Amino acid sequence: MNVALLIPLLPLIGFLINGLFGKKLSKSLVGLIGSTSIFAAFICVLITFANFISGGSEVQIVKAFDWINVGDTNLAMSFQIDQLSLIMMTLVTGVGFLIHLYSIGYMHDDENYNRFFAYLNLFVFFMLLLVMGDNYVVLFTGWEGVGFCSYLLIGFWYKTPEYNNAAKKAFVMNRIGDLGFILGLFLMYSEFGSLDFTGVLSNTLGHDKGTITAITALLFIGAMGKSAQLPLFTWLPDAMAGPTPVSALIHAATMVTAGIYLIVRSHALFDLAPDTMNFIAIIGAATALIAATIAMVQNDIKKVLAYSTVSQLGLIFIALGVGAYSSGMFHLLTHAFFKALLFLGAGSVIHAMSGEQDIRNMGGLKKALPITHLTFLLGCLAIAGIPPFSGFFSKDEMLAHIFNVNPVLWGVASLTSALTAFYMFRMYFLTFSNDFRGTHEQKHHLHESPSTMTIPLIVLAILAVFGGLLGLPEFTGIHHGLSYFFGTSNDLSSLTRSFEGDFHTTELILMAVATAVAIGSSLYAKKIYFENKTLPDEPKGINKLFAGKYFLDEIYNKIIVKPALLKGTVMQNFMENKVIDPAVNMFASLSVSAGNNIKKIQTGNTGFYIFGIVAGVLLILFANYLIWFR
Amino acid sequence: MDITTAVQQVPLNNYIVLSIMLFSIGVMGMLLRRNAIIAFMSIELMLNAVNLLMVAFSAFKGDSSGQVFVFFIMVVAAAEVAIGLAILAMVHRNSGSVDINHLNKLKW
Amino acid sequence: MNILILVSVLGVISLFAGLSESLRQHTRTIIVAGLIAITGLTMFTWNAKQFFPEMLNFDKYAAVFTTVILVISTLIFVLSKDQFNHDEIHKGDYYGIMLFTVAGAIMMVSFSNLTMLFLGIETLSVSLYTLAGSRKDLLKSSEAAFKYFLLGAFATGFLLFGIAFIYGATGTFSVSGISDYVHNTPQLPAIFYGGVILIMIGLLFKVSAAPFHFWAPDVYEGSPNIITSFMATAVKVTAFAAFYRLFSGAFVDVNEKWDNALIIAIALTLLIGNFTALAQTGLKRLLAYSGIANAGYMLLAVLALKNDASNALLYYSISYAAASLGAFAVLISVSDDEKTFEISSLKGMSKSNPLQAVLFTIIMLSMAGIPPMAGFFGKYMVLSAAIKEGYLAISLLAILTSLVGIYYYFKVIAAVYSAPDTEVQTENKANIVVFICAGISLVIGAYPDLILNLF
Repeated sequence: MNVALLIPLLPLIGFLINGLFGKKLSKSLVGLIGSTSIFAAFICVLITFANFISGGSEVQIVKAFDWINVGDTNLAMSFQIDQLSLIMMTLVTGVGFLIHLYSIGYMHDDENYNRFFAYLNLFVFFMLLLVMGDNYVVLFTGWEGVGFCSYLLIGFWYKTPEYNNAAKKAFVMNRIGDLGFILGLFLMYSEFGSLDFTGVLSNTLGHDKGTITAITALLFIGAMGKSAQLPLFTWLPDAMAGPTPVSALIHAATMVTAGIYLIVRSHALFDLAPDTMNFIAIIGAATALIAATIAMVQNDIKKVLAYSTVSQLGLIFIALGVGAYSSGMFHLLTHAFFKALLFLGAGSVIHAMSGEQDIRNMGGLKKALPITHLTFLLGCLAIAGIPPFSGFFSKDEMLAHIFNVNPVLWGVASLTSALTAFYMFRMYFLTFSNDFRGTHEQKHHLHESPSTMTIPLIVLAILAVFGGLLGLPEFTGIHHGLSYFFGTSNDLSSLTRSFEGDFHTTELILMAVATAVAIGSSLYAKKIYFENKTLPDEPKGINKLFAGKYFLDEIYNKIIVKPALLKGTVMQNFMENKVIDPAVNMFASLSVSAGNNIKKIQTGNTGFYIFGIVAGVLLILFANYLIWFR
Repeated sequence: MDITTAVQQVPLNNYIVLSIMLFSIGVMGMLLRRNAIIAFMSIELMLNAVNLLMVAFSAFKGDSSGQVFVFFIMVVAAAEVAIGLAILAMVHRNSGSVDINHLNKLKW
Repeated sequence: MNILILVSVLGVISLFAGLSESLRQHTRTIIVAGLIAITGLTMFTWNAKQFFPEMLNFDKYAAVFTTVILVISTLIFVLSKDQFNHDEIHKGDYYGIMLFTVAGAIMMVSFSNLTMLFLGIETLSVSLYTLAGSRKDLLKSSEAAFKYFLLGAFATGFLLFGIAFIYGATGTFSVSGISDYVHNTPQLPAIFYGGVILIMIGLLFKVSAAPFHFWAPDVYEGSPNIITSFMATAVKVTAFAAFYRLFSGAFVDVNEKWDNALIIAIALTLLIGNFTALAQTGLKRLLAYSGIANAGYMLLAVLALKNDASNALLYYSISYAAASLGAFAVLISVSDDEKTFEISSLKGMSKSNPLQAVLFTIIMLSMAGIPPMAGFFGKYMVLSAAIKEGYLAISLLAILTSLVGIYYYFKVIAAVYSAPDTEVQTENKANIVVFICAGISLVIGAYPDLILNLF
């Protein structure tokens, strides 16, 4: 059996054990099984990775079993092992394992401990299907599966109605995207006659351009839903209702990157649809800027991070839109490191503050939480794009590519970066410096988190600091790790765009500008929130718009939800109660009374039966007689 | 004159018409009479119509398999009647009647 | 041929074993072992074509259906423990007669001559008349036997009349001879068509298709449970296999001359079977009407035989037989021959016997044609075969009436899961046959290729 088959199997086994017998197992055993299954999967990924490299980086298709055989369509549950899927697998299992480990401590007092780990394992299973599948149907299965797990986990504390609403919102918004995705798949199947990656992506020549544009646009709508892009992003901040490890794993590091993965995986199609690409870049830019401005005025520590995630995903989409796939993947990786770190750090803070999430009631946590503080600071530096932390390199590479294609988009992206640095340090200073502003009991309760929680923080902090080494800029003379890696594959080498002519000087200038902007806005944040000790008050002027999240929820409510509900009420009261229900009931009662009448011909009387048979013979002979001499 | 030639003295159509008439009489007997014994006899009449037809065809086609089939039919008919009368005896013991319309406990 | 002889010999052994009191206790075991061995032998000689010139032809089709019949019969013998306790002395006779029925069934699926078809049908039927009346102390058993005998013999008359007409037209009883005749004669005589229709009527009676279905509900209800389960599964599958074999072998080229008659019969069967089943309160009678309704779906495969629908027929036969046998096995486990078992008496089974309730649900879902159970794929296959041949209207009717079917099958499931009227003891046991049938329904539903690759 191929090791690669074990990778998705192990989390599934973990899910089954924890899901079926978790109630009977002790908490420590549940946590052990949950984490070990992911860790074992991670080891398997590393083995597969090593085999892949030593095997000359050949793309492998590993078939688990034949899945659907209908007519000429033959879909197998099979996995594609190539550079792209390996990177994603490593990310999912590696970060996934750290977050499982963290959850052991974080969720320790929850009564539904086993349910939590079961869901988390199931999520990893589906996420692995998503990134490993060698055809769009397996990918879609994983896609739906992670959406479902996300729904379960957002609503994990289902006893609070708000949380349930958040879960429903996430589910519905994702469905809108999924509808686009599945329509795209239908169109793809009718155009290409296949849903295999090889069948579709290697045969892109000679197809109608309009159809390709339509397919890519529909796939991007799917990506919009899953990766929280405008106008479908409002579910992600609400999704913070779930436990913090869930936010870190699903809503920062892995699931929300599925849309990016989908586009990078299908880049052969997207390359042929410049209109879609422009659309992606514009949506990405708008999302990045809007989410960043909203993040500036949020006071909930997790909400800030959520909007920051939306904004960063927007940046990646700009990069994808200009064709800089490899840079986008690079930022996806570094972002997964530092955003998971920040979320887990935030979780540690919330843990220490006994559930308090408002940064206005924090402050001065530096002393009480030294490890959390240090790692969180490193995460902030990384996301703000301060050299030499990982975010600097990945963001800079994207910015350079964007500038190369469209300076206006670069302007938007740079502004977003500046805002990012500002709101991250605003949050950092409000949380960790100055004096404690919470209640007395909270102060008394402050403590550093247990080691199962701090070890993942430290590991992620190391990754966040050094992750940039994966992709040093060209002029350093060192191989760009990621581009080189993609370059070893024929299909994926086109992911990397090289600059035309001598771009190094421009790149250096851009770098300097970006660094200056990042440091400048960080210092500005420091001045306001550390030196002047300003506290956020009621938003005024344009901040009102930001704090109200551009009133998108209200707008959606007015123009979509309310009319839909109204129609629903009308439908319910009139169509359902007056037309459909009676019609259905009428058919049912008609059928039953028909049955009651028809059964009377079964009189029990043998003489009548003989008569029936003779009548039947005559009927059939007569019918045929008519037909012979037609 | 051997038997085959003798059978062929009469035109084939007459045999067919006679068989259809005999068969129909059997069917009418099943339809109109309520006594189980008469019903059995009607079935026998139907089978005999078939036998007659088979033999006639056999003679006209010059093929003996039709006559062999008639023997099979006769054997099976005998077996059927044996079973049928046994069942009838059982019914009579249980219900005290041989009227085919008397048995109508099972219905609907 | 060997199989036929072995089964008959097994029947004779059973008759003799019944004579001795000590052997009588083991008769069933001997038969089950013997049947398993014979089944193995059939599968072992799968591709070895044996034939008895001009009479029997043991081709692949015959071998496959013989295997199906033998497996069903084996399961029924497994199930028949304690079913003949009312008449201990004659146990061996009943078993022997059941085996002769199986012998008749094997003739019916492997005939290559109308003589053998007739003999097979009669061997099977005459044995069944006896078995239907095997509860001599119960009036309803006598009534069932009487109705079955009278109507069965009546229908045999039509079948024979048809055979005589065919013989008159073609001068042969051999299936291949008839087929050659059809091929080589440009203008077929009217008596040939009359013969085809009359044979069809005789066979429609045997498969309990409307308007010749009248015997079926009464006979199913009146016969002892174990015999009913035999009639509803093995016998029905056999009748269809024979129907298909004859019509695809001899009359396929003139199918436009008889398909309208068949369509009328299918339409009536679907409507009467499904709607009357709706109005049933007794489980056994419901299963009887469900058997009629299922005959309608299986006839679609016969209708579509021009395009080789034998795979669809085989798959449907197996899925139907598995579900039906499973349902009867449940019925046998909860009721006896004497009283009528109402559907409402199933209430509380989910509490009193959760295991059996789950298996029964699987079986009922398969009957209703819910994916991924076998019943769904069976319906899908016969329908797609019929649609491919252009029989759209009747296929549409079949789909619509199958919706009616879902209603009454779910009525049974609902009863299983509703609260019991009284406090019940929980036990978890199910007959091995229920297990096997539910398992088959699930497995061949998930992997239809297991069956479809047989031919």
